[in-house]
Formats: sequence, C-alpha cells, structure tokens
Amino acid sequence: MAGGGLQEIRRRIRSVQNTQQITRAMKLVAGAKLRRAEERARASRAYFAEIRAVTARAVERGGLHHPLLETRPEERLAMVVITSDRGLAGPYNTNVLRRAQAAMSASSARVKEIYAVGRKGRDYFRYRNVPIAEEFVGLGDDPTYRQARAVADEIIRRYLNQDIDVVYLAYTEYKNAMTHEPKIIRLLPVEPPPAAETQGPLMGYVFEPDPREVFRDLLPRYVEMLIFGALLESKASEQGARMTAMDNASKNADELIRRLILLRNRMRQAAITREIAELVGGAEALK
Amino acid sequence: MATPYHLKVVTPEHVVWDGTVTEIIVRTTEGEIGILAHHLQIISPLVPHIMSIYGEDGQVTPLAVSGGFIEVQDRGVTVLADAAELASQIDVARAERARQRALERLNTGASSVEVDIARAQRALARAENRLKLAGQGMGIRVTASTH
Repeated sequence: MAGGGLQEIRRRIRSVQNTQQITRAMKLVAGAKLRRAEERARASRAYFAEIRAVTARAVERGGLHHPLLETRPEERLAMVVITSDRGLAGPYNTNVLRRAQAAMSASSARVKEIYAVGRKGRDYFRYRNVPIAEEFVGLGDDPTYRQARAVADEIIRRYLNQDIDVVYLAYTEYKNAMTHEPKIIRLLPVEPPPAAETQGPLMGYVFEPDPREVFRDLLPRYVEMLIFGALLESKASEQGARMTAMDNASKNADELIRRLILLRNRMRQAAITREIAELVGGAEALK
Repeated sequence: MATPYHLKVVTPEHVVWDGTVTEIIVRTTEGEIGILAHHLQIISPLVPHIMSIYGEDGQVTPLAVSGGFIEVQDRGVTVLADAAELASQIDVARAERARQRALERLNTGASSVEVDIARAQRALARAENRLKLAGQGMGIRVTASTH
C-alpha cells in the first residue's frame, strides 16, 4: 500500500501534463488562426462600409420600392445562427445561442425556424426540437463570400416566395481577442442603414437604368455582405475565444500540476519517514 | 490634362484600387461609359467586363471586373466589384476550368431550371472575361517575341 496513493498521483500528474500539452498547442494554433481571421475581417470592412453607404444613399434617394424592402406582419420568423463547427471555444457558442434563443422566445411569430450555420448551432436547436430549415456546416477556418451567398440566396428566395416574413441573423461581433459580443440584426426585410451616414445634396443622383433595377442587384449583395461580414466577425471571435479558453486551461493545468506535485512530494516524504520510523522501531526492538 | 479624381475599387475580400485617376471606362448594364471628373452622379449595376483605368501618368491599367456596382459622387467614384483582378492576378487555369464547367452545364441542358441556366451563363461570362484579360497580356508577349 505504501506506493498505491503515490502511484495514483503520479499518474494524474502525467495525465494533466498531457492535457496541458494539448491545450497549449490549441492555444498557439488558435492564435495563428486568429491573426488570419482578424486580417480577413479587416480587409472586408472597406467593401462593407461602402456598400452600406451606397445602400443608404440609394434607399434614401430611390425610395422604398422593392420587395426586399417591404415589411410584412411577422408571422413566420427565420433566424440565421452563426456558430462554430467545433467546440473548446469557451463560452463562444453558448453566448450566441442563448442570445438567439432569447430573441426567438421573445417573438410572437407563429412559425419560427432556424438556418444553422455551424454544427454547434444545428445540434443545439435539433436537441431542442426547433425546426431547422437548412444547415450550412463544415465552412472551415476561412469563410468565403460564396458560402455567404449560398445562405443569402436561400433566405432571399424563401422571403420572396413569402414562405418567411422576417429574417434575423445572430452572430458574434469581434471587438478584440478577449471581447466578443453576441449580436442580432435584421437581414430581411432589408433595414436601410441610417441616413445620417450619408452626406451631400440629395439632388442630381441618377439611377441607371432605374431604381428598381439598381435595387434588384444592390439589395441581395447588401444582404450577402451582411452575412459575409458576420461570418468573418464570428470566425475571429471563435478563434479569440478558443485562444483565451485554452490559455486559461493551460494556466489551470499549471496550478493543478503544482498542487499535485506538492502532494506527491509530501506523500513520498511521509512514506520515507514511515520507513525510517519502522526501521528504527525494528532496531530498537532487537536490543 | 484631365482633372484627376479619386477612384476606389473594393471587393468583399480586399481593396483593389484606392488612388487618383483621370478617367475610367466601365460597362454598365446600359452600356459602356467613360467617367471624367465632375461626371453626373449616378449609381448603376456593372456587367462582367474589363474596366480601363487611366492613371495620372497616362498609363492604362486594365482590370477584370466580375459584375458589381459603380457609384459616382462629387467627391469620387466607388466601384463595388464582386471580384476584380489585374491581368497578373488572374488564375488562368481556374478560369478555364470554370468556363468548361459552365459550358458543360449549358450544353448538356441536364437542368432545365431557369435559375441554373442563368447562373451558368453568368459563370461563363465571368470566366470568359477573366480569360480575355489574361489572354491580352499573353498576346502582347507573343507578338513581342516574334518580332
């Protein structure tokens, strides 16, 4: 029995060390991916800002003459939820899912359905028996514009078909490596960006050939870009959350190993002391 | 010398052009237009085409644009392109594959769905547009070497 407890502790130390190696490696990988995701999110912001401004100006000057701009009573609601495919990203998925769930519960819509982008969201709602209209999984570490368009195409088609009346998007906004905020925005009907961002005189702005044609091309792209931007922001948030979570896990492992080593040393010393005591006791008895 | 103005060409992935130009020529759904400084303020969809950018030094830069928008304002011109590449940035092999794929889809007529045909036609237009610009570059090199 002398080495029994000791053996057990040694095994645990090794086990925690192994886990720590994994969390350390994951932290490094997430850090590298974060830089890339951050860079891509940054690179897309110029286009995003421009199309936002153009859409604002166009709607302001062209009026509300497009099916994608017209509101209907919110009878059937669709929620696009962006989560990650993989876990071990701290509270990243839970936060955005909770936010989406709360918004869905608050809505008085008769029909509510989910467009799941990412496995975690799909599994979450499937488990809760919320109908999933479509799932987009396996998007990888570098979301593409094409993937955003696939989502946009689908919801725009169903919106124009009048299958759904309103579409929201739940994603995670990236602030910095430590801070990310789950957010919900409306995708459809298109919410024109605030006109305050526009400047210059309102006259002398020509739609070629006419506002309807321009909106037909512009509005779907605006929706696509909202989704693409959200995909990039969410990806950066995911990597940031994973990096933070793995950093914490590695630190916790350090602390745990430190305590286990202390315990191990104490037990080893106790065993040695006991042996000496026994030896001394034995020698005494022989006298 | 024409008055210079600011041009910005952006795609969802990156900024392609952000600088001063004297003239650009783009093709909208209504036809080709040249834009000098103080042009009428317009907004118009673009079709896949090769856009010409005239720099202040008089140099012309061709740019393959895969559809998008142009917005002309007093303070400058913005092109919101779905994708835009300089001749040197075009992946010829990929464009060729895309062209073949689109042709196959159109020829076999396997899908009679209107949406799919329209999509294949657009893909074909984009691929051919890219190949055209890449081909122009090669054409110049070929003639230069034969003389």
